Amino acid sequence: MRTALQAAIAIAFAAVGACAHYPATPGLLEYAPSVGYRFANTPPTSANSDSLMVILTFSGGGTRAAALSTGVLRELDRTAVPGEPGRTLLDEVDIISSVSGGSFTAAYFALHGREGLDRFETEFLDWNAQAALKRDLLAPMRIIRLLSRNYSRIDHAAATWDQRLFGDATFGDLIGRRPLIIINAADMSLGATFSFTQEQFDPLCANLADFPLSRAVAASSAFPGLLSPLTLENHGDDCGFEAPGWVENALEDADIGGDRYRLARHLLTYRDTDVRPFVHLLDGGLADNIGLRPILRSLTSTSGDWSVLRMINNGQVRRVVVIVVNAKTDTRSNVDLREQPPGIKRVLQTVVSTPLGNYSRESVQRLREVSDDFLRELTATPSTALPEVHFHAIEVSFDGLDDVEERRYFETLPTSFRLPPDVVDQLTEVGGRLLREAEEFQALLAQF
Amino acid sequence: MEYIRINTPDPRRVFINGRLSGSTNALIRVEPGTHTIVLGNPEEDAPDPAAEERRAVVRGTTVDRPLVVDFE
Repeated sequence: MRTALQAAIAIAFAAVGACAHYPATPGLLEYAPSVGYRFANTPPTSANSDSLMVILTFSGGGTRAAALSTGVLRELDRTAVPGEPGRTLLDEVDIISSVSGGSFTAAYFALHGREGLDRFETEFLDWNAQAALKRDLLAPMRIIRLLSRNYSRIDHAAATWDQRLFGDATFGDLIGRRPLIIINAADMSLGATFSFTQEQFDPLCANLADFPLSRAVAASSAFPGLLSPLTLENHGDDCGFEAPGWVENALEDADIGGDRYRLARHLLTYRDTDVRPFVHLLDGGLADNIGLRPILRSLTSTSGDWSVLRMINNGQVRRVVVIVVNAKTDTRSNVDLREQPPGIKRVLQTVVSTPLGNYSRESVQRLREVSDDFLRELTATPSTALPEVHFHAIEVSFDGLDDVEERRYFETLPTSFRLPPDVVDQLTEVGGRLLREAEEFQALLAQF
Repeated sequence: MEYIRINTPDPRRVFINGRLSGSTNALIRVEPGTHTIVLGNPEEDAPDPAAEERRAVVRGTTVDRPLVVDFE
């Protein structure tokens, strides 16, 4: 009798669990290129001008990255805009592009503004998020849901982030407010960046305005093995989407504009709903661990929803500041001290992290080349021939620390969602200091 | 970075691949590749539907040696 009852309960639980499903991807009724969470719908204000374009990128790296980027935000808030009393550089932040751990800071700041910075430290940076995830996993309803094939650990993580940090907020709650955030995940099939922007959602006929921030952050930080991929439904042809003008031209340019050609090919894959009825997303760090690629695109192309280059051409932007906050570590560690070859865990870590580190270095180098291009213009042409722009590329990373021991200390901090509060304090302090002492940041302040 | 200059007798707005990207008789920065160029009236935010459309392949230019396209 008792066994039968237990079996009946188990069957009931399994049945309820089988019904659990990740939240549906909100559909777009009608494609409208001027509607939704787009830069054009976050207009300049008296506090935040277009003429000074401040762009931040926050890298991955768990709580280490989230704390370092928080330190940078605080330093910007301590830095007055010269000649404009009462305004700080934090007021001028226009865009934050983020990955993984950095996405927590970006999303929380976009939602709560400077008033939320103190709260972010207590609610997230000093929080043992890993333990909370494990604890919540044992909650009866979560266990039941996880029995379903359509509800996985990533959905569980998003629910935990919502409960603690985002309170069911969606991207629609951010429309009209700067900074615009670009939370980046990686498209598992393409191995390419998938940005949570309406422009990226358009070919899927999906509505980002109704999409929860927590799920974007969860996808951005879905490190393989720890969290499962996040699934989006592709609503395909339901909204009358038309490919933007640049796509047709780009498809003819396989041998010229490498990036543009690749992006056009990628965009068209979302239009084939027979082949891609779903899109699976992983940690954004797998495609670009510093969140710089969408920014480079905006700085070098007049295509796309948000193009800084177009704004420069039209005379709207006179000064561009790009601050790359890179919480990279040095994973050389001590493998070479031993004769025995490293184990499989260590090898896999190297396989994942080494190419990403190399790619990040290349992205920063590309940013410096863009900066050089603008500098060359200033010296090569009469000022009337081209709308003039001043460019500042600043990297905040532990490489900027002169003290070898201090650098080694920060570079060997673990990537996790659990760091002691005193380490969090050290990271926020060093983030601010690295920005303050960066040569290019000082040049920016001197040039105002 | 690539550079293009669209020459017209009177100032016009320049739409590249459907987006307002600069003005005529001045340098415009673009990415390398094929672009569709349409002109617009000075105060309008959309291309002139009756305007001539040109396609241009921009590559290997410099700020001192842009691609020059003449519209009548």
